[in-house]
Amino acid sequence: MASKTSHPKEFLKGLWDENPVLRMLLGLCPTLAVTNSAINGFSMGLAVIFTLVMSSAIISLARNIIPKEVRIPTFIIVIATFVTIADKMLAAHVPDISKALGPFVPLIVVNCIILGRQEAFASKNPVGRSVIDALGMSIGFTITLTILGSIRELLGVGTIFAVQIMPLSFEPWMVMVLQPGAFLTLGLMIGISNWLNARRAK
Amino acid sequence: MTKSYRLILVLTATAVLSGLLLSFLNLHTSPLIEAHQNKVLNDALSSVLPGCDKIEEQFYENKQFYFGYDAQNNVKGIAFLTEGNGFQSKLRILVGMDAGLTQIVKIRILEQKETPGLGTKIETDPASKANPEWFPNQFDELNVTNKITYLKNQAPDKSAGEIMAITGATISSKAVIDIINAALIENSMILKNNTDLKIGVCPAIDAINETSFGPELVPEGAKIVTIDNKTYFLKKNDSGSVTGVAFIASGEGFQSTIKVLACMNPDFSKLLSIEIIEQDETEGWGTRLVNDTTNSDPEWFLKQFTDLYVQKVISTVTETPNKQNGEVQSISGATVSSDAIIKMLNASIQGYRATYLNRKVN
Amino acid sequence: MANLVIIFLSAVIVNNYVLVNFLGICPFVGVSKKIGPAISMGMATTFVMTLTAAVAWLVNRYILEGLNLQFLQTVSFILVIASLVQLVEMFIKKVSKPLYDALGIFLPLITTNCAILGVALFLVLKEYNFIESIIFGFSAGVGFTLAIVIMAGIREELELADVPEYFKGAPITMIVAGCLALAFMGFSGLI
Repeated sequence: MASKTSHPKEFLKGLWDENPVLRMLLGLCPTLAVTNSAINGFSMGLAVIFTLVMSSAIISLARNIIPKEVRIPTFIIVIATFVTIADKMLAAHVPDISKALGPFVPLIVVNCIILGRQEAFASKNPVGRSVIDALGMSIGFTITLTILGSIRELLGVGTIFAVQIMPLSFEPWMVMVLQPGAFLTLGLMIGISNWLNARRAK
Repeated sequence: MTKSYRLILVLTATAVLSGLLLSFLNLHTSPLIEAHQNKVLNDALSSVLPGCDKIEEQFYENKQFYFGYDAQNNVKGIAFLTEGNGFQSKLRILVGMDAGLTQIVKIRILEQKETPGLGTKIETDPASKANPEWFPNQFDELNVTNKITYLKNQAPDKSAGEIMAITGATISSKAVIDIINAALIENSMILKNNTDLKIGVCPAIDAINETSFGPELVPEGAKIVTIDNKTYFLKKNDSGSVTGVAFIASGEGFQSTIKVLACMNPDFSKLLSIEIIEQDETEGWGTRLVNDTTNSDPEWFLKQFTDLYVQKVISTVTETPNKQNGEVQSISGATVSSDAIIKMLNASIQGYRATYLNRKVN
Repeated sequence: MANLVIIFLSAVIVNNYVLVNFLGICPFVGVSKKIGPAISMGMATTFVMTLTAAVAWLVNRYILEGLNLQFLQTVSFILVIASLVQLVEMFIKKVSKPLYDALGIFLPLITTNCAILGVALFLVLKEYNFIESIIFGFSAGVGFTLAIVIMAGIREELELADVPEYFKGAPITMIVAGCLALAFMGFSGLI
């Protein structure tokens, strides 16, 4: 089962070639919903890093104990447990961010990235490799969300991470921080990443 | 070990482990979450009741108040929490008042999820470097002997209770003002009833005075009585007999809570007038309740209730209504809002009538 | 009654599940190529959502709140949904073969549809009562169906349009969804 790819490659694939959002179109709900500012996108990414890495580690450790027939329910319980931990920890330690993310933290449970990586990778690979894969995927997710959040915040409010970038005379494009802005920006980002990819392949 | 045993064992073990882990987590986080909530409230309280040596909670008529005391144990200020609907989210506002309830000391918006970049300016406005909290700060030392009103693009006058609305977020700004206005009316009434604080010309009394009981009544402030947790405003003439009774009815409108001050004659057979003191209905449709720009008389809907006989329940008709029979017309295009008012009035007239007429006369 | 109508209108149009709340985006992008499958997916989702709303309300009220176990909310909801979907699948298979053929393949996909868990979480957040919860679950499903069917209709037409190569598929779907969301914003403030 052990694949031949080296560890750095395993990590890097999540950042671009198999970027969960731009290339595999997974986990789009939180991607769209919480990216009205850079900090929200970034925090969502951190919660996903935690959940994905922890669940991958545990499931990879237990991959020989879990019977095939009940693997999906078992995965879901493990994921839901770590999601709850992330949710409660955010609420206890960084309440402002927890308030901004709202019900989208518990919704990480059904984020297809997480279940998908367990099914496709962690349940078949040793711990080290699974953790590296999980890190790559979730960091790729975080970077994408942060960029998306920054673009929307920059055009919609004129700031990035609440730091004023645009001149004060800039009239903010309100629509960018509202729902349509999320769809439009993500559509453009996916299109541009397609184009970059095609150019690189040439 | 058979296969199915193993399936059950693994699943059960996972679930039990998860449950245990989360219980331990809960032991750790729940006190922190609670402590944070208390801290937020306490910070907000000390900012809206500045310079108080002691802040105490008090309950009157199931409403919570925070009393701030100075070193001599005199009441220095009173704060209360109030909430209502903004443009797209629930707003929770902590309002700090002076002890006479004539002036706001400071407000704090504790919760809002309005449109980012526009409605959120009711809390902070990142575009205004010098004073990002310019909107809530406008309420500092705001005179509230009259209802708070808002202006657009004009310098407001604090002594007249004026606030400048946020450009592009008029509805959110207005919601803050309406929520505070309504809370002031209700709370000053409760405090006047239950405490011996010297409450000045408070908005509640003002709302009563603005509402006409009819010219035969003496123009002095209404007396407030509470019977079975229901609050009544009584208007008396020179010889001391009651000439009008008013109460606040509230109910759900089309999209917001509507509160109406209803004035009735003392035997509850006739409405003298009604005034809407809080509503946040759909702009243009539901707001025709108070200001119907499509009609030559924008207040025609409310005026229908003036001198309306209510021995029977109020009903809607499509032809010309007969006031003797308690008939009114609803607003086409805003039937839900107008029907809500009628339903609310019917229910509360019944309740307030029964309690008032069965009171022990002393 | 008016209350229930408002919940319905709000979930279907004003706060459309997909276009305003961003729930159920994965199937919205994945299953919106043709109108036929989109309708089936919508129906299957509506059905499961209504059931989930009812069961999640009961679980929340009598087990989680009853025993003060709110911190197990996420875990128990997702288990309820997973088992519910499994049950529905077995039931439909047994009862009606044609229905199973129409909806069957969509059911497993639904477990990981965040719209379903979203319904369960939102009804707790909004403190709905039992009837309101069921109406909310149903209307959220109708809203989802509406969005996905409109999208499928547009995408069938897009087949004929000259879309730049790199924008074919997901990117243009997102941009169209953005325009739809813009149109749905016109409903905000209606209720």
